[in-house]
Amino acid sequence: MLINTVKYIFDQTSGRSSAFCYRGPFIERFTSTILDIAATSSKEKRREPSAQRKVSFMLVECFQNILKHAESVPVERNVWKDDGMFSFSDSGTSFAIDTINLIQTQDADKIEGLVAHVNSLSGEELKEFYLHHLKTNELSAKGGAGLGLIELARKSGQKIQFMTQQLNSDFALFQQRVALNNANEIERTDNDELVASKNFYDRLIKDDVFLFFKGEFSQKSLLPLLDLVEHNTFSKEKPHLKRRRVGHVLVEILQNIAKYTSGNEVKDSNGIFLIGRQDESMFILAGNEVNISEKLFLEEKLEYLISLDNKELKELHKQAMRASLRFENKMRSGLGLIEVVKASKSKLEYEFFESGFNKFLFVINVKV
Amino acid sequence: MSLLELHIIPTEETPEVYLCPEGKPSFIAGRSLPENAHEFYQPVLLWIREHSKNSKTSLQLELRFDYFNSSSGRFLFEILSVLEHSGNRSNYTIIWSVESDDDLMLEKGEELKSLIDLSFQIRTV
Repeated sequence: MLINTVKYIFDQTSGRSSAFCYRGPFIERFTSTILDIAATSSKEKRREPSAQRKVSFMLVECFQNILKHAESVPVERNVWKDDGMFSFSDSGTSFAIDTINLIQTQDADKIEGLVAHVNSLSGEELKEFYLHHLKTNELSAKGGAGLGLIELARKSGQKIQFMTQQLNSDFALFQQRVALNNANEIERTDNDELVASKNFYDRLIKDDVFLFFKGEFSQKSLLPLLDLVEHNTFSKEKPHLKRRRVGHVLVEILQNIAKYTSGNEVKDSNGIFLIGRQDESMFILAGNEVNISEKLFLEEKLEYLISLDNKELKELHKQAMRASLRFENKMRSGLGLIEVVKASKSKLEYEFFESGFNKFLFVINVKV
Repeated sequence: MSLLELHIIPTEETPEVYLCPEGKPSFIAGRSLPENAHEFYQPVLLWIREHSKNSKTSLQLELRFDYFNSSSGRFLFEILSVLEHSGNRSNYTIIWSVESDDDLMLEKGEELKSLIDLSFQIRTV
């Protein structure tokens, strides 16, 4: 069941204040969108400004690396149908960027050789290597001479973790992880995190999830996420209208439903959401933690809303609109949940997973 | 005091608002996703209330949205309710402009239309 995927990702990302994953297609305009998402995804700003600038630099380099160097998915050969993955996660003390993209097998040795060489150099040697490359201007066919990679290593101050997976004689998947750690964090030298990241990617492919976000659901984080949804090309059929419907539901979820926390007060909250495809539809899965009284309230309300047919829902919506004019509390009209149930193409699913003492992960699945 | 025109510049999360007391076509257009819709729509509501009480001039108000959130929807309804309950509601015409094929905004327009008794035209553009 798709709803279990949220629980799986919630568990996988425990200990991360924010995490984000995007599975293509990759377009230039998303560079700044991703910077905005990273900047707004966590309320905890424990990083020094200079470290934050390094994070931004690394995000841009990694994203543009895919834009410039990833091979397009071959149409005629049934080798691999995915654009790849760009993801980041932030634990407060460590910020890691994981990417996976398609490369030509003939380039694999060259890329691996370059990363291994970069990893073998000291800080001073890296600087010399960078200046040498800059001077000799040895550009590859797609632009860049591995300069981005050298700069990444210099900014990160850590070894770049990498792995390639041969797909056939022509193509391979190249996976890379760069991290920026606090001084007291021990550098990992094993491949565990790469393997975990690849497993995560495989799960996203299996469930056809192309966007995942965990972090603070705030107005600031909503806008760049909406930009990603609006300008994606994931839906072939009347794409912009489908995207608009997804955006509409996403707005209601992030602004309303995810905020059923601490006595139904409107406040910033942490949550998780995924967007993906199933058959001809898109689905939005969202989860956030609630306490027992919120669980009971949501269960009762959702059960009632789900039991209504379209006509009854429309009538209830009208009544709620009329009633909303009478109430003083204009911040909460109570319409958000009705909007989401109305927008759902099939019966809305929801689930509560126990996640701690008096804590439940509340997950809903809306199909549009 | 005579009513002045009201122009609010759009942002990433709020629509452009242009309300003219002298009969020039007025509009609210764009996306409306403010978290605090109450704050955003207060000046608009004040203007509408003032116009509905004191103005004899007719007002054509075009509403053209890419998106709006449920709390914005609630304030749009309040704006239309104020006009509906004014003594001169025949002075008011609402044009709901919707991109052809945008069934979501079409549905939203139909919902609002069914809630009020005002001249309310839905136009596809």
